[in-house]
Amino acid sequence: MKILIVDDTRVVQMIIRKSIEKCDIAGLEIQTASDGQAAYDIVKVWQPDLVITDWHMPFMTGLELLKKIYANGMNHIKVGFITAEPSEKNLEQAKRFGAEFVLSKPCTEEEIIAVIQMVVAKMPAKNDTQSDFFDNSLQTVLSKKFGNLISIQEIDSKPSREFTDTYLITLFGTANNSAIRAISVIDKRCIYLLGALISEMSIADILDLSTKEGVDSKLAKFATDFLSESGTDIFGSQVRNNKPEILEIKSKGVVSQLPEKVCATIDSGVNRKDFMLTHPDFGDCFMAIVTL
Amino acid sequence: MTEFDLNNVLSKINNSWSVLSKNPIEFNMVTGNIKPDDKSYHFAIPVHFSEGGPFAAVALEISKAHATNLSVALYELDEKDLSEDEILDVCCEMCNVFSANVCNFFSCGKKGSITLPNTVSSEVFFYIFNGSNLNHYFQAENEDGKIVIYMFDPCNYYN
Repeated sequence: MKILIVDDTRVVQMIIRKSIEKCDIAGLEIQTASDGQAAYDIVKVWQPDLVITDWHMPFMTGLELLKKIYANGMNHIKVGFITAEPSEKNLEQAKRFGAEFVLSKPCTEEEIIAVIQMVVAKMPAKNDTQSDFFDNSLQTVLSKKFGNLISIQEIDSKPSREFTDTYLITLFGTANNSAIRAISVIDKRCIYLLGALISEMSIADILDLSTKEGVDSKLAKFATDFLSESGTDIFGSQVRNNKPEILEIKSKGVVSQLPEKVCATIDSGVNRKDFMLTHPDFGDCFMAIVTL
Repeated sequence: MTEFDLNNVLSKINNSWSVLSKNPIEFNMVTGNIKPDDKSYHFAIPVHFSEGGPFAAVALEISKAHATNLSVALYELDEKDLSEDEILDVCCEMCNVFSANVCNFFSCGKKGSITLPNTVSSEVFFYIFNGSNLNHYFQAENEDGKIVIYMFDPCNYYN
């Protein structure tokens, strides 16, 4: 686990480091930075799992650092604050923007250890069962179904809170007696593309049809059926073909429309792969697959 | 400052010192004249108010003995292994924490936002002290000398 400590006071860096080192974390690596800008430079290259930051620092505040990390798609990085910032309004704002924890200075070693252990406990384990999900690629499924009509390229994950006009289609399965949910994130254009190909209508006809009210859900049904049929191939043998659930996200803010745990998993980028699908007559569209 | 506010502030200050130094000492609010000690270390944090108006400031005056003991406790090093730079670093953090404790208790009732702490020379500190409005301050004292938290309060100018 990689942890970045950001504080403009060396003694605070040292206190936090000592506390972390007492947490007995496997594969622990720690780096430090003295201001927000230096921290961001490290984050871009080093990609820590957790950033623990102060609020008031030269060049860039802790909140600005958090916003910059998430605005640049690094949603899998958890950010927590250890700060003397007294404004409850500001601290609430940090939580709204995704801060994992806010600890007020002065804090004891026990308090620091407790929040670190809480974060570590919430980190998804990268075990074999979960990695199996991506062994059978979406690319194989698409080429089996549609030949070479669709090219597919893996892309960097974008923040889920940017989803607009998007469908989340969930499938269920079990592995090791635990319920597993597989989620496909599909934008509306991708729904139209799959709808056209599955129904064997032309792209132009589908696009024309898509302007009519109420057609989206019918087109979504095509894509849903496709995912239901192909769920096992895409997500792995633990996800059985079953009746999927569909959730439509019309405007920005998937975070407010899904249970927090689901949002957190989608945002974390762990067990999530994003793809750009391209059809020569249709252009690009977006699809992601996630497992919980 | 109401009695409730005063107890609240004193509780925060005493707790902050106690947690960081691991050596409790009792702070009290003092009104009236004070003569700053030019042999102590001085630190200051500008405070601004979201509603605008002049800047306020919180300053910390700490005897060299207290500053050294605090640094020994936090760095867990012997006094001889500490540099003055490390002692100033610790005191800046102490000033930061104290400022957060008191910045919502200026006489105008406005909530203050703290910025970054600075080490200030005695000359600069006396310049600020002589040009500022001081209603009250918080002080603790023992055989290691004094620790004083000043609230330079501009609010009276427009209240």
